[in-house]
Amino acid sequence: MPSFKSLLEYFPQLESIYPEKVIQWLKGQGSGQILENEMGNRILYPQTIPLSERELFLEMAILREALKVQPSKYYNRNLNRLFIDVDFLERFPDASSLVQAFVDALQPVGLVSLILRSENVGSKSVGTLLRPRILKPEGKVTLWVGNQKYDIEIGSFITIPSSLNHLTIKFDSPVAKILDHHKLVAEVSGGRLGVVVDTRGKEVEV
Amino acid sequence: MVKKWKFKMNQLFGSYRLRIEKNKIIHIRRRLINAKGQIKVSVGQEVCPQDVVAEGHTSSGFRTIHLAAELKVSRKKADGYLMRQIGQNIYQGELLAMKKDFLGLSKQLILSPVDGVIETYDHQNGNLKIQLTPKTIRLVSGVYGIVDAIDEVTGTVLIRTMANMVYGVLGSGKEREGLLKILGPSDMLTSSKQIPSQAQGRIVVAGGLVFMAALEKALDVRLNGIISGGINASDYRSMAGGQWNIWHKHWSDVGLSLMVTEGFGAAPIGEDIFSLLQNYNESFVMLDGNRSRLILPINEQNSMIYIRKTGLPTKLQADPSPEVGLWPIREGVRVRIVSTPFLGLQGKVEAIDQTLTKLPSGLETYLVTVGSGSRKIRVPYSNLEVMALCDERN
Repeated sequence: MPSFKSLLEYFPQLESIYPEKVIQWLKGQGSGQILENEMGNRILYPQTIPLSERELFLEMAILREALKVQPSKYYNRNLNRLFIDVDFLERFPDASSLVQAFVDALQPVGLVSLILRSENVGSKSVGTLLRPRILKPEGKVTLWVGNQKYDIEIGSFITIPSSLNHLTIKFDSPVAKILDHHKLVAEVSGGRLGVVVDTRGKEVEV
Repeated sequence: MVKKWKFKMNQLFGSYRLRIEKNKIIHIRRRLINAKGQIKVSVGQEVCPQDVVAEGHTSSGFRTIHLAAELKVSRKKADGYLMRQIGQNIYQGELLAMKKDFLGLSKQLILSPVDGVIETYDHQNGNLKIQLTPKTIRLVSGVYGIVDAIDEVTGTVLIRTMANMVYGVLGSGKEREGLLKILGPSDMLTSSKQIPSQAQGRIVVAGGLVFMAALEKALDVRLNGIISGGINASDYRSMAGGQWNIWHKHWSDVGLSLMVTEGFGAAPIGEDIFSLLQNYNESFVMLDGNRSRLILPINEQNSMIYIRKTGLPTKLQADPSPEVGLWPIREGVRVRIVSTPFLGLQGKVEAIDQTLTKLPSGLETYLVTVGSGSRKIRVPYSNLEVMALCDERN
């Protein structure tokens, strides 16, 4: 029986979010007044679920701003871990977009473990985020995940599926550095969220 | 009577929210505002709507009129247009000053806005000062009921009465009272043009959306309250001090009480509430915006039978918030859609899907078919609020 936890259950301070900030994530998605009304109705009726893709984008934008209200609950900068509650994957079925929302809101850097957190099962590492420092606006990052090679353009956000719990990655780029290296070989976690690479560089301006 | 439900393992549950409580015994507080006075009733006394429960006098004060500016003449000459002399009495609506044009074809009239004595005219700033005449204010009960408590210090009379209660989803403003006036249909979009100029002290029902210009005019013409189905979020937030003020409520008041019954944006007032309000057009009601609550007193003498039978604690205490919770969704139950584009639409559950449907958003959920008039709308069960509990209680 699917029942979706509302954002208000995760973020009791949802009302402290400014609509102007949420709307900035939704450029071209409609008039500010309509979006603000829809956001208000989401707070007023938190049990409701998005019907359309557009409504899902609004929900994602609210999530981004909600995460900023209590960032330490979802990102441990010292341990380089990003925590995602398992229920979020039910409310936001596109895992890649969900991770992107977390990245946009919390701005993790380097090699970050993606941890799926559940009240019943506990925490489990289910993927890795690579977020290198971008030195030039053009160029590419070459990444080997296992034996598979990927050329990733600067300015991309991609998810490479990997069902293996542990895997070896090789990072190589003349225009980007990860953990202060142009080249790096590392053992990382894979799993449900895979290997996520964000080469968009500087903080997303909102 | 509340029926007993057979709960199934795979039962769908929807939210419910109490919207209407009929024939509820409640306490109302009657208090002289801006006046010092005397309470005219005693504890235990039965009162009718027209009974005076307190009488007081407004304290004297001044009213300043910008005479020179209103007549568009120089400050030194403005008092030459006065139709009454300094020191004379004048009553509200009487001619205070008159200016004719060159040919005498048109004239500008200024009427006194208050009862009082014309005290002085100041040639320096062009202002005319009228000393107000102290007025006797008689506060009537407004309801059938029994006086349960009196607070002489604050001049408050607590009356036990019977009323229909309507609960909105949003609101702002302290408790205000007045005669209810329905401006139009439940889905009317209310701009400043729809707000009547001669409606001071009224509580108006403004339809499906009330615009900011209408709220501003309502303040100008001194309406006491507005009830609408929807409001734009930015307007509501400015009334609530820039906050959402939905779940973590703080009291706000801009000089006007507001209750919204459905949500943000345009949404017709739900038919359950609107049909009840129609029965109260031109009747005395009390609107508490901060509690999103409208009190519709039952003005039938036989309500006294129930009022006498029902006791209430007399200690002034905070009123509980209207209930929200979960309730099973089943065929035949009345529901209200709480998501766009049908926000506030009411109907009956006609069918509940047994299999999951993938929505365009990518979420999978059970859909419910809601019949409303000739329309049938399929909605995720979580986007419904059950109205059954309210119906059964009533």
